[in-house]
Amino acid sequence: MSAAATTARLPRIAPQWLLLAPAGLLLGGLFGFPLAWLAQFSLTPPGTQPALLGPVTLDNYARFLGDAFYLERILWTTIRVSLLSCAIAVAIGYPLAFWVAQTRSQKLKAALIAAIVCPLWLNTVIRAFGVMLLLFDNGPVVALAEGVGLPPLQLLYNETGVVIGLAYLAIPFFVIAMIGVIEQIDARQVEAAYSLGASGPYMFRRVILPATLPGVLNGFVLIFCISIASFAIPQLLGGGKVPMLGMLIYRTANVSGNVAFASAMSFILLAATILSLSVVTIALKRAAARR
Amino acid sequence: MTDSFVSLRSLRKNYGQVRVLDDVSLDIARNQFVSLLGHSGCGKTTTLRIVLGFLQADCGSVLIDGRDMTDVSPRHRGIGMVFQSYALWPHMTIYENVAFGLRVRKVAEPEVAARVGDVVARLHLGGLEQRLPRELSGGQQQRVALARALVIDPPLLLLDEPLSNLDRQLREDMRLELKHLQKRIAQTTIYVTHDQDEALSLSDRVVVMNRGRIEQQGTPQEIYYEPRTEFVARFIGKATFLDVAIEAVDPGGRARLRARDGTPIVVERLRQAAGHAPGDRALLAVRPEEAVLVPATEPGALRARVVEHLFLGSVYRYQLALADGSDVFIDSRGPIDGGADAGLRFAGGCLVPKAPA
Repeated sequence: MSAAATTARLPRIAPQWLLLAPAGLLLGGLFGFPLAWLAQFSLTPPGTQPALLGPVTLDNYARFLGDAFYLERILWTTIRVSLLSCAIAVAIGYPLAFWVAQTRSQKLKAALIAAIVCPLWLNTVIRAFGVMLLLFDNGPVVALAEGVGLPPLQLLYNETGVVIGLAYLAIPFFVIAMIGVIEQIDARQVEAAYSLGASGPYMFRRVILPATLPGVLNGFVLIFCISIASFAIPQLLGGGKVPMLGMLIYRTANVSGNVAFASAMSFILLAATILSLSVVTIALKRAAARR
Repeated sequence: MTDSFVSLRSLRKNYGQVRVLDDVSLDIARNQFVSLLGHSGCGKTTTLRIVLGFLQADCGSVLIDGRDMTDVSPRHRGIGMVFQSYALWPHMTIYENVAFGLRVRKVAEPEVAARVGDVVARLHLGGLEQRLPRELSGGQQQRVALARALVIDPPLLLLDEPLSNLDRQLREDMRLELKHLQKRIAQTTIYVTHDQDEALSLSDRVVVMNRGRIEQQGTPQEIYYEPRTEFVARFIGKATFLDVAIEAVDPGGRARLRARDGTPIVVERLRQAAGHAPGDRALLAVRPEEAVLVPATEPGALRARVVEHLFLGSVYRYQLALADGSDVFIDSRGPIDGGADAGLRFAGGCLVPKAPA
């Protein structure tokens, strides 16, 4: 009895919360706190140096959301270019990931994964220059297109260039995310479908696609977040003529020095990201449920 | 065999330098339930995958209903397959899992519903149709896998260790259920297992495999009581093995043998003495239930010493040692009275050739 009474009087701090403390502190300190600070910036009057206890205003948000130029020209371009480049990355990355995941030879597989990952060792700017060399007006891709009789292509300093560049950037991330997902598919589930008479395409549609769809979604979220926030690629491959929000935020903060407006645009970008991803997720899940 | 429904003809398969199947030939009659029994790596799963069509044999062929399957893709073989891991599709409901094979065949939905309902009821899965596989117990998932294979009325059903992922009690229940089911549907079935109890209790015929070869095939009784090789005798059930020389076998089956140290051994009814002539050396295999304990003083009894005993529930299993040190295992209904000394008689036994050393 006395032992039970003693136990009951012990302080009730659930140990699982203590275990979360290091991660919580890290996330709070390195992510939550700066975000809160940025939120505070975004509420200070435009053009002023942000002060901790200054006046509070929604002017920065009103300026962006009240202006068709920002909404249509900037925000919509950002979302459209990101969605398009990520769709292309998925279209290329999905079969690529299959190919790598199903490679029997472990050595060849390791080599393929290394080849896919090694661009990530380079700085984004350097990779962007690499893509520019390919897409140049007199570059190999344009020459090849002309060689097969296509009209002269303009692949650089426009939206096409930015889409290609962002897709190129996103493919390694997507492939790496998908390889694990595809490797986890139980080969017996595939064989079960075949043994019941399913054709290759039927099996793919009913077994592989539903099994990999959550992975595709996760991979898409990952690369979409990278694409929508990018500023180096639209700057370099778009020649500054494709106004993406990330680029504009960079310029507003670092060139114009309007930190308050840049902060507000950062939150609008965050909201746009969450909103776009929600729409994509819901749409994909609806499509999957309908089949 | 003229009436064989499934024929494996001289199947061979190598993985690199490793020979996994070596001249496997097997005939299975229509509606027969055949087990491939062996340790892991004996080639039984390889054989199964060749029959399924997911693996090509290096040479040899598989005939189903007289038709060579070599160039027939797995999807056109129409074989019902139950995988060890069940391989249910996790994103489909039980109903969708079972209906898959019918929908592939473009069966009209009302008929799909009727046939799925029928097989679901037969396998006691009623009420679970709208659940997902992960919401079911292991035994239920196992039955769904069986239902999914049976719904297409396959001419041949293959089961790959279907009970090995279940715990003991459930495994025995499912074994009985499979036996009932097998009687009702009379389906040609190949059953792959490493569990001799499953093989012996379910099969019309047991095929014991070892190192890519068929060691012996026969009825469960033949396999158990008349093993033709030391491997089969050791693999199936428990037995005492004694290195003996044959002195005489009379027509009634009574055999006089001699142990290594010269001690005379009498086996009252020796099964399968054919092929062994007086003077030959062989291994005497005696099942624990064929050895009988008698008072040490009884004339003609082998003298033995009790070494250890195990209580197995229904019987006590005694380990005894003969004078020359060899072990003898005996099952006894009750504990043995008396001291460490006992007498021993062999009511039955069989001879197998000594495996080359």
